Amino acid sequence: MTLSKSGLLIWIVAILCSLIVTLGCNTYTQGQRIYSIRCAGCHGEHGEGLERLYPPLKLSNILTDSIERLPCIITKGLIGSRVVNGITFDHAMAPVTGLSSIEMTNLFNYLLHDMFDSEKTVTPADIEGWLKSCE
Amino acid sequence: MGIPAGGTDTARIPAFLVTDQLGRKVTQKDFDGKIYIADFFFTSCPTICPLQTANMLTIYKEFKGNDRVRFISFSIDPRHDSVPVLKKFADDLGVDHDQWRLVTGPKDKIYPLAKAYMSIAQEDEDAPGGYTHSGYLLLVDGRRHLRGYSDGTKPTSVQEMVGKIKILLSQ
Repeated sequence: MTLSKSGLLIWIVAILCSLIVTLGCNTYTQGQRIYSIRCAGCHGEHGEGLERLYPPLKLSNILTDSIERLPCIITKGLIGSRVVNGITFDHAMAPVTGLSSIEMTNLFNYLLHDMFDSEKTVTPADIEGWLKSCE
Repeated sequence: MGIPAGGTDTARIPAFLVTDQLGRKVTQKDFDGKIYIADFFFTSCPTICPLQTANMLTIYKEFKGNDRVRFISFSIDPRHDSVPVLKKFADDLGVDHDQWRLVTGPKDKIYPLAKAYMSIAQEDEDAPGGYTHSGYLLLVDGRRHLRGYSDGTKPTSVQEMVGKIKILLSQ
């Protein structure tokens, strides 16, 4: 059986398309997986938060105002009240332990891309630098 | 639809006496003739409880203001979850203090109760937050019979429970 020229062309286009889609998806796959396992329980599958108990992450000012504080908040947890998008939250956040700086980088880039629609990205060096400021 | 029959009297939820978020005594009698959803949780739980609470809230919103449907969340962490802590949690969740009771009681009363609801609740140093428990939401009818459960961490399972409550309400 021989493929016609146009048939072959369709196959090539199909393979290229699926490659692009796959690669495009993979960029944020690890970040999304970590978010889903470690963060979504409280902050919601889409970062919507839960009432005044757990603050939202989607379009949350914390991602724009003080992203450099986030690695410490994640690894050390947070006690005391804070204002997110104009609402005060004071339920304590438990530390999320065991994430490497690369995993955290992927998590941050997923958050920035999916929750904030931002072009901004962070690097493992950023995360490691920010982690040095933890008490 | 798959709702098991009520069962025998021996399968009834045993009587309990606990204290709610406003410091009121709560007993099984407060739920006589009501359909209710129960779960076991603790406010500082870092893992499955928040999901459980979120899904319980979804069901609550569906039946908010319905006098025949109640909710009860048993804290398994009496050391930390005092009455003021439960009150704050309920306020932050935005729920009605009469329709959804968040309760505390001595461990030796709550843990055996969890068993009657076919749930697990126990201290476990190795578990995140210090307790092991199942994330089930339990459906109990007006005659104290357990009529169904759902995995409180799965939204699809929660929608099934909403359906079951509607069926019980129509009976």
